[in-house]
Amino acid sequence: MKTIKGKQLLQGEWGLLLILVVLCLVFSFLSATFSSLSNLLNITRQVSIVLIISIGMLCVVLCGEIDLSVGSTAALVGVGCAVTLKATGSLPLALLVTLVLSLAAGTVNGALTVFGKIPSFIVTLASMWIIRGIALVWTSGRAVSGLPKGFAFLGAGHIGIIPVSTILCLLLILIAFFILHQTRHGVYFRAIGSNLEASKLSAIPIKKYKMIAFIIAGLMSGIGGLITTSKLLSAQAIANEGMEMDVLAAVILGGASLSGGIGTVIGTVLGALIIGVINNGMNQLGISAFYQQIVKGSIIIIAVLVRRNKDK
Amino acid sequence: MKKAVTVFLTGLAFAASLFANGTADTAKEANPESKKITIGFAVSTLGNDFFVMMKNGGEEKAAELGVNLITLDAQDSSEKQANQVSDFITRKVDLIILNPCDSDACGTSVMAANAAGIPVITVTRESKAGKVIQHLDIDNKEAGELVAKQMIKDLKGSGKVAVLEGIPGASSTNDRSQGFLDGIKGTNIKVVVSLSANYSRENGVTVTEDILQGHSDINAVYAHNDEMALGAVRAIDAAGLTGKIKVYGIDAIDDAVTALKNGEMTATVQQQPKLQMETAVQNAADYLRGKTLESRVNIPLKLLTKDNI
Repeated sequence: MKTIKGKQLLQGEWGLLLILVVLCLVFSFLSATFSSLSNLLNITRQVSIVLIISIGMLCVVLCGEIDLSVGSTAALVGVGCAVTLKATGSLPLALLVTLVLSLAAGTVNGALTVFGKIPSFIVTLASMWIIRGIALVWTSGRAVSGLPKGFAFLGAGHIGIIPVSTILCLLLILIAFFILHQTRHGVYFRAIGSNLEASKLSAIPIKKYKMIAFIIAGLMSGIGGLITTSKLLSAQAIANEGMEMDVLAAVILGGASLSGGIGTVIGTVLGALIIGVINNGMNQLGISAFYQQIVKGSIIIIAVLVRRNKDK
Repeated sequence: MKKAVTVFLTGLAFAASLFANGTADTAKEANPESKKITIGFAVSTLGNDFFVMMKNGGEEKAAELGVNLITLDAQDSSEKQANQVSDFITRKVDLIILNPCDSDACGTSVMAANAAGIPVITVTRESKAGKVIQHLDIDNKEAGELVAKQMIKDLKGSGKVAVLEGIPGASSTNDRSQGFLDGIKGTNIKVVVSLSANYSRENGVTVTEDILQGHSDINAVYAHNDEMALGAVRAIDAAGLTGKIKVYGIDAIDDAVTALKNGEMTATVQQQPKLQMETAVQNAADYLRGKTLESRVNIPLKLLTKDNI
């Protein structure tokens, strides 16, 4: 039984990998710069923010829930971090604020869903506005700038030739892969999403796991916001607007089901990379903004169709 | 001292007119020459420095001309603004200067003023409905041309430029693009790549990163607004190319002015909100004294560089 399921998942991911490779080949053929090492590293840096937040979203989606507030949380955390850093000049203090705000956002979303028994779509739709509003009020809608130059290291720096945000992203992917695919925690997340009743009967602590999923989503959004702020060397309350859509696109393209229970870390990584490659490749080719949206939408539809056929 | 007295008297006259509208009207008919003009200014929001500067400019001009200027702040709510305009109409102001919260939503207010026979002047945003005696605005094409002129000077007439476009299809995007292209026509400055970064700082970074992959030899970036220009500054800094690529923006937001001082940006274009409102008040007074007005006035823009901040 188990081996068949594993094989199916593998096929889905092989399908995604095939699409990614084909896209890369097409873009390399059309553009002289696309396949250069520096551009490939550039792509990994560009997708790192979406990818990190996607990992948080994957945990929530696996449990059969959704978090629409990820972009707002990233913006609020970025603002909190920048304001603290500017006022105190202390990086540890700024990171502490980052951590506290991220955990707070995740905890509130989780508590309202799990204990308040409100559907997470509604909870996080509301918190998406509330959190964005808090960020706007906090900054009066103005950019928080004038951060120390050294702070750009996380979002724009390199270790050797590898971007720092790529390394951080890779690290988080490995941790997520280990937890979701190598431990019982991953099994629990899936079980809750695929069959709530059975999970209850098997004495899986459902509430605890759902809370954890939302807190992870908050934390990952916070890290995403931190990288954005570092990359821009300034924070804006309007940053990461619409991020929830990019993240959901990556997760779903990666094979996760919005009704819960299905989804893999590797699939999500491939999904995010496909979207990142499309965006970057079209910019390398200088395709006009009018066509970019059509091309992006079409490729995503084709990708899902190809993947589904592979699944059969 | 003299100014304080004028302001005091203006205030007094305004208060008096509030309490004794009827009497004031009779007085007006008896002696039209000495009539004191009252202008209502419906501003979209005073939560933005740009409009505060506008209001201050208008008040100074009104004091200078000896007219009343009543300002009502709609706090960016079209509904509130509609109520405020109808307040102006009931109060029988002589003219309304309207800075619409929204070009479509303000239409009914303009029509109501038309019906009451009160002339309307619009500033910064147009009204899509009703009749307006004058609209004051900036010319986005001119902004692009000013950048082009400065760039030609900085690059001595030849070089490669990347353009960061605004929101696709927006009229400001089209005009800022066209003005720049007209400006560099006939020189050896060539646009090698032109992509949209949606007027956003985040997209400005990403798109510039992508541009630098294939065109690290560009001499300049022209961004349709400062937000994208500031994004470009970050990407250029990360690529270690600061100083090699000049960055131009439009809008003169605070962060951009700081970037000009630091030498991270080369030039930006500033609107002149104070001049815009001064002109509006002057024209309003002229109109009420019998002059005819041009239907549209473009307020000149100012190019900012390190040397003239």
